[in-house]
Amino acid sequence: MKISLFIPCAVDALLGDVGMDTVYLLSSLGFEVVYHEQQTCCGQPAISAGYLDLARDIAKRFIEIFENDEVIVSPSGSCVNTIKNDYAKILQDEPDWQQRALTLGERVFEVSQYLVDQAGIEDVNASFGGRIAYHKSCHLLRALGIDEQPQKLLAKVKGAEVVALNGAEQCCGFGGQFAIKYPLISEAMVRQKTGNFLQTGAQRLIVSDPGCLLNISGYLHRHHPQLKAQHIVSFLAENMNGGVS
Amino acid sequence: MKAHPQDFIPTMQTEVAKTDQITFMNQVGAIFGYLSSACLAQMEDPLKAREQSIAIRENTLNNLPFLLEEFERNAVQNGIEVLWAADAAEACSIIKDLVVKHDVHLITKGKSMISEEIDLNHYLQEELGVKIFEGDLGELIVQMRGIPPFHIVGPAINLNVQQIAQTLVDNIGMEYTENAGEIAGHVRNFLRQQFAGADMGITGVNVAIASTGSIVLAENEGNIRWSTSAPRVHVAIMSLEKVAANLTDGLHILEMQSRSCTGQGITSYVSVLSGPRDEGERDGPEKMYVVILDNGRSQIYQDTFLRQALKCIRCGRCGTACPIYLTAGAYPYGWCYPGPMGTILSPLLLGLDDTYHVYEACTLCGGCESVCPAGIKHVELIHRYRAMKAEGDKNFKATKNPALERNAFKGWATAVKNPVLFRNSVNMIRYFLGSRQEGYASSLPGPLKSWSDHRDLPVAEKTFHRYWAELQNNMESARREAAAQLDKKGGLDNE
Repeated sequence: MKISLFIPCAVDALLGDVGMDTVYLLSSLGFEVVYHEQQTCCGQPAISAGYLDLARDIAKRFIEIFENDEVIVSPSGSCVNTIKNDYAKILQDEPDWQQRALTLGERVFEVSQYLVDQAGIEDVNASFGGRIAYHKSCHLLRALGIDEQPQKLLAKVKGAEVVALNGAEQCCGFGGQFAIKYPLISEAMVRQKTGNFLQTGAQRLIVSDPGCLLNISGYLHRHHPQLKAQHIVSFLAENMNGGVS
Repeated sequence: MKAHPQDFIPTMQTEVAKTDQITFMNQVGAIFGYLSSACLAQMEDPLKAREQSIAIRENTLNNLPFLLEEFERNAVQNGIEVLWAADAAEACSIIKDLVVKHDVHLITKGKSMISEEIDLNHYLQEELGVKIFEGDLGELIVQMRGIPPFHIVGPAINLNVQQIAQTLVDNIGMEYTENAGEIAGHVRNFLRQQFAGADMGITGVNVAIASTGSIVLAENEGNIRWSTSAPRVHVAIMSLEKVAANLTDGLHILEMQSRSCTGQGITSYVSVLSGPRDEGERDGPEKMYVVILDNGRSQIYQDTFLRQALKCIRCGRCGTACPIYLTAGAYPYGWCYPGPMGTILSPLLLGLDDTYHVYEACTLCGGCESVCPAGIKHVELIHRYRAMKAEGDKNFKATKNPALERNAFKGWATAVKNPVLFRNSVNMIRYFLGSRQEGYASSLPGPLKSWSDHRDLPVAEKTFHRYWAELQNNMESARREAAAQLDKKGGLDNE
């Protein structure tokens, strides 16, 4: 099975390791991974900021790059939501493009969603000795309705004890430009999130979206360097096949 | 209250420094969230119940002019005088005239957001010097302190018992006590004297019933029933979207409001009021008025997309699901509608320029819309507000975003559409992020400084693009190596 990788701009620019972990995870599970080198950004920042004319051009470009692929997978629920749900809305006055957006959207998946729902894989043969907690990234949970899938993957990690996180479904305070524009609110939110994580006694906080990872791991590194947030694909890739990374 | 959403930033700065309040409000959010979910789950078919409340609100909006006319017709037949107010000023002046006409000196009130929206208390006190007391315990406390309500049903939820006790000592001569039962007892005695002496009761309306010409009021303290039955005159103010076709619809909305908000199957008191006291009856007001307020809503109604904002049933559930509200509190919103309720309503009622931060300070997490019993799509509405602001909008008072921001986005979009430019820009940005330790940058330049003031930024050693290229090269060189080995081996074999 051939999987076309959609690497969000934040992953490309800042979290290249998460991108590589996605490649490793999917390849190890037997998928052939392809990556279109002309891909850039899905345009979500323009949609969030209200510049829909700019976003439309970017959306069309994205559609042209990916629409011939059978399956597109990304390690970001937020960006997948942009393709799956927002494109059709911003292109509503151009029915042909809207249709192309919808047709493409059906084949775009967040990585845990693809593995569990499409490929029927829950056990990636990973093992980890320790406690982990799971943060439910907003767009994954509420915009895409992906809740059980990442948790099923984590539950199958041998030796890992998944502990409950208070306020697991509450936003961490990233919100793209929000974190830059309203740093005080954003900081108070990520403090709340990491405070709840501290209470669990777990060593790692697993997240599913690059935005949450930037925010939470950045805050932990500054204030609680002994603790770590990790993208679910990195956690799985690192601990696959008995811990070979 | 006077609207001041323009003060969002300074107000927010004060509020987010209150770390105890943030901790407390997050507990409140968790508790109310739990109570509400549990209470909704007890319904026979919770999903269907929600679909039904959405359908009822949509039906109201699709038939709004007809339902309002039907309500007016039936209310008038019931002996209620119906008055229409185009805006806050007209509503205030109508009520002022009623106060004068009925020689009113003391008013008791049922807590209502709509009277906060038109800033009625201040207006009547300043214009006429009439005495007004809020009848709801929490609302009375915030009235005495001269602060805005913090939550739609818990106006004083952010105050601790010491602050509350002191307020009552200072204002109604209570002997200092921190015993909740004693405090409530003191306030009850005080308020009963006001209810007994009041000439007019002013309330809001939870739902107006078109088919019967009644208004319905929900509460837990019994004070609204006092205000609507003891004084000679009852004035109810409603915003025009609050009508429902019939009692069945109206009570379903009330039930969803109550389950979503406080986690109660129904509030302790529900009053269905269908007119003033009849001849020979002992209780009820001699005169009853309903003031129907527009205040910008017909304009919202005209836009079929924005219209969904009027579906709001004021349960306040969105607030306890909103991390911004739980963190920054009610005050930054700068008006009577805090939390996502304000994010949705204030920009359309006050204009997009003045309320910029109200819809901008949102992570689009969708917590609000996931619990909204009216089915409002908050995220797409906020997207729309931002787009209206970006392009400028005359109807909702939005001046186009500054050229600087537009141009920055245009430049960014140009790069996004050109992979070579994009790679170069990414590399340049990575360069400007400054030095890294253990894979984190901790002192970012320019506008990114606000990020690194509070946290580090993970920066992988290379871009994914570079990693990928290296992987392809490695595979290529590994292939060549293997092929070379094969050649060599082949060569040996040939020997």
